[in-house]
Amino acid sequence: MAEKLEDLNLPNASVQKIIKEALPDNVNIGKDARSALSRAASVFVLYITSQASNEAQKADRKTLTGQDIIKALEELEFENFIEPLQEVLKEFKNSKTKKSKGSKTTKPNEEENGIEEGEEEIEAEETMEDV
Amino acid sequence: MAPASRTHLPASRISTIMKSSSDVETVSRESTLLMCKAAEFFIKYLATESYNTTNNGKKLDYKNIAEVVHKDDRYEFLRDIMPKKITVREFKRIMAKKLAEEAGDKGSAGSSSEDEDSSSSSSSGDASSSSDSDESGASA
Repeated sequence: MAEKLEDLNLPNASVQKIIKEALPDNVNIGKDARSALSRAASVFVLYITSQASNEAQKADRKTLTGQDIIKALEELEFENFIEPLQEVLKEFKNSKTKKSKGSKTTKPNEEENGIEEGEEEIEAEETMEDV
Repeated sequence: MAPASRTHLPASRISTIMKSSSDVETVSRESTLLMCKAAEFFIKYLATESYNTTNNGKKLDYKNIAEVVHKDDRYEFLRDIMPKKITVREFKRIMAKKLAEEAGDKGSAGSSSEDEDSSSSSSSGDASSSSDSDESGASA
């Protein structure tokens, strides 16, 4: 759970990197612009989560699914994000089936996320127990 | 971005934010991952849109983002946290205009009333009204 208020902010360095990727090279990004985008993204996550949890409640589920997120994006007029996200969902499902077979994927890019994935797995287990 | 699921944002943080919502009990790992990616798209999208409103395309400022947020209804949920900024000069202009309008309502004897103000006003609140009545007496 969030203990400090900062826990609800996104890390500055990551946000900076994302903005840089989106804009042409050698564009200056004002500090206030970055923090505004960062705050906006946090609020966006909450906004979508809230709508997604409505979707889950409608279906009498207590756990948010990927489909709930996609439905929420559609409802709130962010349809243009859906298509690339379907890709992510597909990939996630693929990697899950691979993992259950016991063969670990060794794509170079996935290794970078190794630590994070460890964390997520613990979370996923918690979720299972809760249900 | 070769594998689509690679994200810049930490999944643990996104999951914390999602769980901070009061109406959520549990979030699946799948939904966290999607949200990570969605948040990333969101930042990119809003940044690009805002960038397109800049004049020379050299610098992305707060005001560019605020402009987009206040123009596009999809971003209505952000308007409270992103008020439009105005400069001190603009603020002064607005205040001056307001004062001028008020003064315009009461009559227009500018310079003479100032002298009267400085001589008669020890209690500042009543000063303007008393000088107003003086003016009207003088002009009548």
